[in-house]
Amino acid sequence: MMPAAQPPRGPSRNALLVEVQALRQRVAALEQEKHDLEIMLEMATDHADDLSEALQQERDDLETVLELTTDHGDAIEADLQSQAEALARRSQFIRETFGRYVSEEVVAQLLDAPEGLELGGAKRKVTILMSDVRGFTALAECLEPQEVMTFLNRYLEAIVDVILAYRGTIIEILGDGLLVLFGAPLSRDDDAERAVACALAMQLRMDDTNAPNRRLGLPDVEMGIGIHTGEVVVGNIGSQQRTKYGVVGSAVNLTGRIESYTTGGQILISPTTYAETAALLTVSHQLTVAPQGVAAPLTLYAVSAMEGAHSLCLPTPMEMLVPLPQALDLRYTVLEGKFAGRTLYGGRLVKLATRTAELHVDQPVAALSNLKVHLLHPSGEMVPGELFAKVIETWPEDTSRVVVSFTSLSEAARTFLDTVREMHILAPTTVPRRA
Amino acid sequence: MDIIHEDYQVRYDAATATVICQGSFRLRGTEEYAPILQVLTAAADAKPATLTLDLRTLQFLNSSGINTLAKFVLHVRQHNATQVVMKGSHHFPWQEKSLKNFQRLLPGLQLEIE
Repeated sequence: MMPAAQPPRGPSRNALLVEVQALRQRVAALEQEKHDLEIMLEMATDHADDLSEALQQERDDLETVLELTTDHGDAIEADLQSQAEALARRSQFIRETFGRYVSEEVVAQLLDAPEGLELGGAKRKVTILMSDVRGFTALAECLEPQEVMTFLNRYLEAIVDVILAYRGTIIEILGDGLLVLFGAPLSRDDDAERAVACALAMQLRMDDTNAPNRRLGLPDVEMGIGIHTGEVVVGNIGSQQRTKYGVVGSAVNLTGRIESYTTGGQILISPTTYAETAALLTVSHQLTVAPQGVAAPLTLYAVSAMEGAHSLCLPTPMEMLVPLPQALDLRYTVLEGKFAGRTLYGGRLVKLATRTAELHVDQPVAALSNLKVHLLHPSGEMVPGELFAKVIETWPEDTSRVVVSFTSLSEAARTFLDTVREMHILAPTTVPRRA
Repeated sequence: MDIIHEDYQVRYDAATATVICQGSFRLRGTEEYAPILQVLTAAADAKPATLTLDLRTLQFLNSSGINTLAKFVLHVRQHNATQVVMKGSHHFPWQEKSLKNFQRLLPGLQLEIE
């Protein structure tokens, strides 16, 4: 007999136990892995937090540095701005202090080199010019107050222009009087020369000032100018509320005295100014004065013309040239430096005064030329000795005509000219400049 | 390690642990400031208890210069526990305005403006 078929049997118990064991291990491994992953995640997160924190710190630092730099830039800009404003105020001050009374060129120089400017006060050698108008009181009496001011302003405008052109510094305008410095605030080698040239130019300019009055039949005014070179103290004088650029020193007082010795139209200079300019000047005469407060008598020089860079010549107001009935023949040479030129020219003396004469010359001569002249008797015989003369006036339209001022006469020449004057009974040789 | 230039000087006095900056710092950029930063960081790396930065006679400091000082302050903060004292002067208005900002980078920084 066949045994009955057995139902298929499941895994054995042992096999199940093994599988359970394996599954447990698997679970444990997964749990470990999960735990590890969790730790890794935590680590990564922590690290990222650290990095983020560091980045944030760096960002904060950078922001702070940026702000710090910007703030610093603002601070520096503010400093620069206040420095620029201070500089602008200083420039304004210089312009206000000097601008009206010195040339634009001097203002520019002061602004360029402010360290060269000693506003606090400095001892300096300067040439001082003082001028005063004569006849102004008489004129003022003929005019309405408004007209007086118009005249004064016209006069000052013309004269101030001249002073600025010669780079003078106007310190004071007191009515019709002026106090001008050459050599402050900026000094130049030719301060004395410019001062004398300026005085000549001022005198020449007076005619323009008088012309409108003359047309109205009003009297002329004339100006006297005194010039002196000496040490003074210059700087800002005054209180905190009001200061001005000023000058003090005995040299200023002496200049005032010198100016007081002048007559209308005259320029008197002191020996110190003369010493610096003598080679260029024509001096019409000298006078010795004894000003108060000055120990020794002082020789003053009346200047009538100047050679060199500023070639200027005053008309000779005190002389009246009288025509001679018969012209006097003469021969002349032009002096070159100290030496007489070789060429002898012919000419005629046609008008004569005490110190001047009008000549007709065969060869034109330049203004301010020095001539050596030999006079001839009507017989044609030469007068012994010679006569030196400076050409003080020429006419472009008639170059043969010149006025000369005698600078040196031999005794024979002087006697000869005196005889000529007497023979022709000349009218008074000196007349007031303007009647 | 002193730097002597026509316009500025940086001097380190080891005895008093003081860096003195004088004149006008007008250098251009990080590169030109490198030698100055080196003097400053070297002084800090010597780890004195207190390091004094004397700026009282530093008339002018440009933006690259303030950056250089900021780098130095950050270097101190990051690398050592040195107490930094910065000395300035009322005489130069920028110092009053700018130096106090370094305390934002290093709160312990001591500022003495006189």
